[in-house]
Amino acid sequence: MPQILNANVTRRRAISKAGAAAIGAVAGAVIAGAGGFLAGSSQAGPARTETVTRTVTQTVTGTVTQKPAEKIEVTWGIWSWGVELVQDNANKFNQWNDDVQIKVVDYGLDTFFSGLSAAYTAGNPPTIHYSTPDVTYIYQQNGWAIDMEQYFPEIRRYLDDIFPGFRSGFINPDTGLMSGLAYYGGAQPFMYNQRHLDEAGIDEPPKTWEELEEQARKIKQRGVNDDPIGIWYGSWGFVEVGIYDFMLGMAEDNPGPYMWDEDLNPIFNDKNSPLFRSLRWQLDMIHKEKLASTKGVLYDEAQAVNAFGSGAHTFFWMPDYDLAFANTPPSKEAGNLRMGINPGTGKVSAIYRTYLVSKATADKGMKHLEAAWRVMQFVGGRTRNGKPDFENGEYYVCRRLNNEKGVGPIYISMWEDPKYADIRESIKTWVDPEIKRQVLFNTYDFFNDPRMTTWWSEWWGYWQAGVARPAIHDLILGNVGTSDDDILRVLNRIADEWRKKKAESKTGK
Amino acid sequence: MQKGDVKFVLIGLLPALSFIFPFTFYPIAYAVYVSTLRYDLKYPEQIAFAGFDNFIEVLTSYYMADSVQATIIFVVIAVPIVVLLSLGLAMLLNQNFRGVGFLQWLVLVPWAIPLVDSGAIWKWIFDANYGIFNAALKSLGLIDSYVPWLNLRWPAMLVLVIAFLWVQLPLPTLLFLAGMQSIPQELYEAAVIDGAGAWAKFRTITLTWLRPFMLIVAVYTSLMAIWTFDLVYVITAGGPGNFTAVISYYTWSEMFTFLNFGRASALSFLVVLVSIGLIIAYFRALRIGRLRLRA
Repeated sequence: MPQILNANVTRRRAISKAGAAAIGAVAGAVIAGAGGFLAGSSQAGPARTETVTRTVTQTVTGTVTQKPAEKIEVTWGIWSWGVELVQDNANKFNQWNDDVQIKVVDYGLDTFFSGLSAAYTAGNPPTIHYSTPDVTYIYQQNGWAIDMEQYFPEIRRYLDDIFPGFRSGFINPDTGLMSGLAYYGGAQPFMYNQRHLDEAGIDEPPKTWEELEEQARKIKQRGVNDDPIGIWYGSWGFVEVGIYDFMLGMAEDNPGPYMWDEDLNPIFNDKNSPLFRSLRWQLDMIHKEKLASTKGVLYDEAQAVNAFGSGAHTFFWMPDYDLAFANTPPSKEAGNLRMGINPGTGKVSAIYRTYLVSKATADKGMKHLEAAWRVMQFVGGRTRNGKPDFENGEYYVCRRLNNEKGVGPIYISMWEDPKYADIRESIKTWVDPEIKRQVLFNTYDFFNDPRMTTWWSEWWGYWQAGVARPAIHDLILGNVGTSDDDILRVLNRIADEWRKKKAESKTGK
Repeated sequence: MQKGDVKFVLIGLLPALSFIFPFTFYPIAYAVYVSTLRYDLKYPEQIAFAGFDNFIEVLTSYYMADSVQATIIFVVIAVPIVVLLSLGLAMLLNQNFRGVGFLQWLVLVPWAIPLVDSGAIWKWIFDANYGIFNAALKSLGLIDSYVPWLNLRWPAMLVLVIAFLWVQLPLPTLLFLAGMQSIPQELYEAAVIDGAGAWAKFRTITLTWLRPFMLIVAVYTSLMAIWTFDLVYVITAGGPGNFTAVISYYTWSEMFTFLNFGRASALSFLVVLVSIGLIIAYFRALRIGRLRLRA
C-alpha cells in the first residue's frame, strides 16, 4: 500500500466513521471508480491525484477492517523434492490471488504415500496432492479422490495436449473421466556415448537390437569400452528400465498389451512374449557375448548417473532428466552423451506424476472445489498471473519445473509452440530437444497395460521388494541358471503371484 | 526395604516411567494389537480382527525361510568377530603407550557417523566401477578388472559384516576397556609371584574377570545384528538375489512398501520374541557377572 494512503487516517478513526456495511458497498464502487480513474489518467497532475487518493483512503481502510475478504485455504500435499521451488510457486499464487491461499504440506519422500494414506484415514487429507497412477486408482476405489472432470468438464481440453503415451494415466478406467492434470512426465530413454561411437568408427547410433549388439562388439574389440551395454537393474530402475524398456523395445509387431490380457491374465510367461525375448537377449549379452555386465544390479539412481557419466558404458537407459547431470560438468563425459530412440520399436516406458483432489474437498462445497481447480490449473495447467486462462495463459509451474529443475513437461504444446522456445533452449546444453520430443511421442504407459488394477500397488511393491526382483536378479547373475527353462520358471513364479493377488482382490479389477 | 522406601523408589521412577510407558510400552502393546488385525493402510475401511492370520501368512511367506537363513548367517559371522575384535582393541587401548588417548578417541569415531552414512561409505568403497577397494586390488595386480563384489553372495555378506563391525565396535570396546580397568592389579602381581606367564594371566585373570562383560557384549551385539536394517538397505538392498535380505528388511518392506501394518507388526513381534529370549540371557549374564565380581 502506498505510504500516502496510510498517512492521513488511522484505522480506528476510519472504522468509527465508516461503520455500516452499506458504506462498504459504496466504498467498493468508489475504489473501483477511483482505480479506473487513476489507471486511465496517467497524464493527470500531481495535485489532482493527491486529492482523489485521500478520499479513497478513508473509505478503503474502513471497509477492509469491517468485512475482511474470506480466504479459502488449499493444502498442497507434496513429497520432499524441489521444496523451495514448490514453496516459491505457492507464494506466487498467493500474491496473485486474494481469495485463495495455498499452504504447502510436505509428507516426506519415502514416507509420502504412507503419510498421505494416514492423512486420508484420519479424515484430514490435503486438498490437492501429487500422485502416481497406482495410488490414484486405489484412492479412487476407496472413494477418497475425485475425478475433476465430473465437476469441471472443461478439464478435458487438456487431454489432447498430453503426449499420447501418457493419456491413459489421466483417465479413471471405471468412469472414463479425467482425474486431474499433470505434475510432470518423462521417459527412460535409450542413451549413448558419442565419443565411444566416434572412437570405434561408428557413424550413427543403432536402430535395431542387432545393430546395437554389433556396435557393442566393435566397441569392445577396439578397446574403447569393456562393458558397452549398461543395464540398470538396481532400485526402481529394475522394473522401468531392466524390464519394461527392453521388453517395449523388442516388442516388434505387437502393439500391446504385453503383460496381461484384457481379462488381466498373465501373458508374459511364454516363450514368445516380448518379456521372455528381452530377458533371453540380456542374459546372452551378459553371459554369452560378454558385452554387458551384472554391475547394473548394484546401481541406485545416483550410481546409474555416475556410471554413465563416467564412461563406464556406451549404451544406457535411465530417466531423461538424469542426463542433465551425467552430461554436464563436472561429469567426466560431459558433452559426449546423447539421447536416442530406443532400438527396435522405439518405445520406452513412460513415467509421470499427476495431481489429485481429495473427496473431502468436494464435501466441503463448491467454493472449496473451485479453489482446488484454480490451484490445479496453476500447478498443472494454463494460467495468467495466477488466474485460469486456457486460451491465452501459460503452463507457469510446468515451465519453471523444466527450466529450473530439468523436469520435463508432458504437454505437447510446450515442446512445439514457439512461445515456449525457452523450454527447448533451456535443455540444449545436455540434450537435443527434438530427440526428446520424439522420445515423448514414443512412450508407453506401462501402468495401464492394459488397465490399472486395485492390486497394482502391492504388485509394484512385489516387483520392487518382493520375490520378483530377487528372482530376476538371481537369473541375471546366473545364480539359478540362464537357460530358456530357467527364464520360464522365474516368469511362471511371478505369474503365479499375480494370479494370487488377483484372486485375493475382492473385485478382481 | 521399608514401606516409605518403596514409595520413594516409585516416586523416583515416575519421571522415567512417564516417558517409557507412552513411548515404549504403549507402542509395543499397540503393535501386538495391530498384529491381530487385517490392517492394510491402503484399505483402512477393511480393517478387521484377523486372529493369527498375519502370523501364519508371515511364517508361510515366500521370504521367511530365506530371510531367517540370511539373518542367522549374518549373526553367526558378525557377533563372534565383534566380540573378539573389541576385546583385542580394548586390550590394546588398555596399554600405556604414547598416543593411546588419540587411539581411544579414534575408536569412537564410527559411533558419531549415522548408520545410513556409514552404509553409503562402505557401498562406495566396494563400488564396481570406481570403488577404492577395486582400485587397490588392481594397482597391486591382484585383479585384472574391477569386480562387482556386492553382486557375489558371500563377498556381499562379508561387506555387510565389515560395515557392521565398523559401526558396532566402539561400545563393546568401551565395555571391555572399563572391565579391564576394574581388574585389581594385585591379582596380576600375585599371578607373577606364582610364576604365571602372559597367556596364563590373560586366561585366568583377564578372561575370567571379563566373562560377564563378554556375555553382555555378545547379547547386545546379537540384538543389534538381528535388527540390522540400515546397512542392508543402503549397501545391498537385500541382494544379490535375496541372499542378504535379513528379517528386518522384510519388516520394513511389509510396512513401507506394502503398507501392510498387520503383517509388519506380526513379523516384528516374532522378532521381538526371539529378542526377548536374548534379553533373558542378558539378565542372566548380568546376575552371573555380579556373583563372579563379588567372589
